[in-house]
Amino acid sequence: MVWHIFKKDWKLAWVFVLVVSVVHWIDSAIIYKLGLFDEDPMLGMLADAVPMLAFFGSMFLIGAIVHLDSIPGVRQDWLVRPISRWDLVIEKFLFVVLMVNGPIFAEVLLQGLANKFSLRLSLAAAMWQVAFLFFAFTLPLFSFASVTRSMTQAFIFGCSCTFIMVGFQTIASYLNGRAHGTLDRSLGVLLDGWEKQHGSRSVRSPQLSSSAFSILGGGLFSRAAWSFCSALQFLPHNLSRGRRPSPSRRNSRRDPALGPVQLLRLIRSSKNSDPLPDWVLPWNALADSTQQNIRACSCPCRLPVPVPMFFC
Amino acid sequence: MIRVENLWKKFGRFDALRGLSFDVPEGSAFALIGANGAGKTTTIKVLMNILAPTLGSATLLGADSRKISPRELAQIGYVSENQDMPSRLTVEEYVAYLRPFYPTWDRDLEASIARQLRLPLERKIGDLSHGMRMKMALMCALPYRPKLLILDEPFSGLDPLVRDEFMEGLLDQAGEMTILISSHELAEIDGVATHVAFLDEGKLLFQESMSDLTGRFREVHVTLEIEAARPARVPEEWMQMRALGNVLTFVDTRFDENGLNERVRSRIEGVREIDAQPMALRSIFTTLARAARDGGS
Repeated sequence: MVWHIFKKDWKLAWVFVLVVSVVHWIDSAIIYKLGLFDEDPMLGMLADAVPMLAFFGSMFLIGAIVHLDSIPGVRQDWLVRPISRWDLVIEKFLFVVLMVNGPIFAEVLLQGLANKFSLRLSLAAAMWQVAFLFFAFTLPLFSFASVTRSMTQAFIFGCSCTFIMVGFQTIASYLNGRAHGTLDRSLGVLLDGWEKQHGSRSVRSPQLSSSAFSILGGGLFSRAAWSFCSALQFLPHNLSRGRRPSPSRRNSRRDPALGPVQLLRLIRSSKNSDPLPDWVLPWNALADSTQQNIRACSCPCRLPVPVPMFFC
Repeated sequence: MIRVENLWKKFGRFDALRGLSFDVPEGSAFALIGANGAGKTTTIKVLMNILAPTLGSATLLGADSRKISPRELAQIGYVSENQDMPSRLTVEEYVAYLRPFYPTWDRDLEASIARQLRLPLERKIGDLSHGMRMKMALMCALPYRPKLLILDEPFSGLDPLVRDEFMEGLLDQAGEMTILISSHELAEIDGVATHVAFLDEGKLLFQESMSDLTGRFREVHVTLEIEAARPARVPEEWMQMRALGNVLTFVDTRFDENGLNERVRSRIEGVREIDAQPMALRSIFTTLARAARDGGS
């Protein structure tokens, strides 16, 4: 039934998919036309703006795909139909991979080929990019959208979370800087460009992915689905007791301590200038070596992803 | 077909269902009646495993409602006014989407129901009126000949013409199917339901077959030779007793044609005439609801 549900979603979302794909491809075309030395200032401005548009478009597309058959809620038609949850989840994954990551794959591949890279190199770069985006971007957003009841709720919670995270991290960085006289990496991650983020994101990707899988596992495969609102209301209370909220409690309690608790945890986590735990050291080493190779690379590389030197 | 035992559902501190127990016999048309907020929709959502019960259990087609699988869902039709459907699909596209999920889907029956309900197959679901959407939901619930059909407030917001079309469509296809219908529109279930259960504030007040219910309720008018007055001792089965002129009126909830005359005359003096009239379902429920509200039986 996966393919059958896929066709239904395609009928409903093909325009959106096409629009987002076109934005990605326009971005690719702009970068190609821009040349090596950013000669056209208008194109330079577009090259800054269009990737953001493509990024937000992909975010909305993931949300829209999930909410074609949203998981939390009591009004969804699929809940009363003989539709397997497994089929539904696999179909959504497949749709997201093909319709969100697929166009990006095509974009990076064509960009590589247009810049006279070999097919092997372009394919490798495209696959690397898509794999990285899947774990660091698509999967977390997919799991986030899966615990919201509607696109509106997903948008509001998404904006709120971003705002809160940026605010807390800024405060945490400021406090950390004052206390230890060091520059904090987390603030830099928010403000710097893609290359500087790369090392930190390599570390965060497994964390994001494992969190996303946990949320999906808990939310999608139990009939009484988790929702973002419930998590906000019950997480601190029930974590402290080490048990899952009962269904009746899910809609009832609110914990006003959530904000301060999260703030404290963020401040504590950044106390030593965001030190990396031992278990992620290999990832960090890989990320650092990759970055060094890119810096050392003298090729006229216009690929939007860092290409390790051994490919050149 | 359905068995509910000591079912509780709490939303925070609010008890939506309070120890509900009832049985829906196979082949019956079982009406779940109650005012808004009585717990009808919550009961149905628990039965369909859309909500988890706080306490107690419910079984449908022999399966625990919490473990209901696609195999059981393929034999259950569900129609609700609150159902979300993909608004950008046309009716035809949506029906085509549903077909493969039901192994027993009958395309001829689908076409016949669509004709009978006069559904515009080419129109998008989002462009349909409420009545049309309800008819479409019914059309999507019948072509696979479900063993159990659950209708949650199906008449809400429908005009009389659409209601009639809906009921005709339903009754024509009912056959051996068991129907659970929740409604506060008593007139609509009169003539359809074979069994009835009355819910009030999450509690079941009674469950009875329709024939027993209508058989044991009578509005009794007792004409006296003198000015009527409420007797000192009134049996608990006589409800809503009131006196007007020389006529005493009450509802007898344990009507017995042979014994009524004797029972009345043994308690009231100066009886000239006794007249017992069958009651409409609406009047029966009004009587019971008032009794429940006033703390009666």
